[in-house]
Amino acid sequence: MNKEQFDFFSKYIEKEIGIVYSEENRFQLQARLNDIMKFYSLSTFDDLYHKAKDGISSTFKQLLLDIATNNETLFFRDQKVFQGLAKFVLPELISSLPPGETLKIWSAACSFGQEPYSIAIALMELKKKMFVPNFQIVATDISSIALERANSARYSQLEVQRGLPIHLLIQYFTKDPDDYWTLKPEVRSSVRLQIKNLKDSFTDLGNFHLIFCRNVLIYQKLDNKIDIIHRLEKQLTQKGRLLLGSAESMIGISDRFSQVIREGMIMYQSKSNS
Amino acid sequence: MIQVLMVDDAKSVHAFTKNCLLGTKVELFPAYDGQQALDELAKGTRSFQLILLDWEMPVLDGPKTFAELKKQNINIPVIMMTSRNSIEDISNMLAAGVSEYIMKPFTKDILISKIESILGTEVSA
Repeated sequence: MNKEQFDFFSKYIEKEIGIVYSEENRFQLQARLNDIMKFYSLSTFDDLYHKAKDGISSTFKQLLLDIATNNETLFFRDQKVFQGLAKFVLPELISSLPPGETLKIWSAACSFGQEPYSIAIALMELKKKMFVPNFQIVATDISSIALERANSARYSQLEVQRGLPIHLLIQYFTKDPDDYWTLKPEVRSSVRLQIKNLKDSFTDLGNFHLIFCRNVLIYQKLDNKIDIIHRLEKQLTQKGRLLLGSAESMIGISDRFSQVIREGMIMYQSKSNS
Repeated sequence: MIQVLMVDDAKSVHAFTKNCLLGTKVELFPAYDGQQALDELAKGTRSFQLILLDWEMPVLDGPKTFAELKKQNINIPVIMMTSRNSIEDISNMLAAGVSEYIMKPFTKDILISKIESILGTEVSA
């Protein structure tokens, strides 16, 4: 891939979803674009470039967005977060809810579904210890391919071994004859999947007691980060909490949030809501 | 170093596991069947913090070895590491008291994360 071609694709991806591919990620992008070449049965990179220059169809665009996003993830990613969730975040949140109110959680950029399903399993486990009200987990992603996989709730033997303790695997999944594992319908049905570009409006999603937006902003440019964070703030309920990835923080992005640190778990709360 | 006893009759699995744990705080000690593992433990020369235990082995298989460990009141955590992956097999071993279960084939990240979750500490050096 020459510089002109790299610039064309990286600028297009940045414009559409805000993810920045810098020069050092050129080979990564090229490897991912190879998948689109295969999809269209094109033999050279020049062919792909000319096809794109002639006009990017909606299918081509969706393929580009699918390959540009990083779908690597695992169950119960970041033990501190899920330990804190089970130990104090969810119990305290549930105790503070008015009777009859549904607990609402949003997993933004859910990829193949490991994060929202981990949250659902955490809530199922909590049910064994305390009253848990009705809950709804909204899981969004920009990639239709990722959402399709999340919707199938079916994972390879390697995927289910990443982060998921064995006792939860055999409790909440069934094993298929081909050694894939499928999440049981009662867990699957608690998660509503929806396509969503983080650059688009969030207002249709409603408000949430907890928002997980982890390991997403690191791929965004600063002005996009600021815009996304400030729009996420508007979707939080009063005293709602926002969770970022372990390598992410609000430093240099926004001073509208106060940081809540407990047992190594970091959360953000809007100053105007607290 | 964290001393771990690895019990498996396949030399290739020993080699792969050792390679996965290169550069970590884990020091692997091999046994090729359950009896060898029990003999090693009986010597008492090492302070093992974890046992990685295969299911199907000659002389003494994994479940029988685990039962013997319980009988002898040896309470070192055990991770089963086997290609047997039916829910029934897994449930039986969890009910018997094993701490975790790795289904073969596995990868380096899976091995390390399962070891870390049982030991409650990071093993990367």
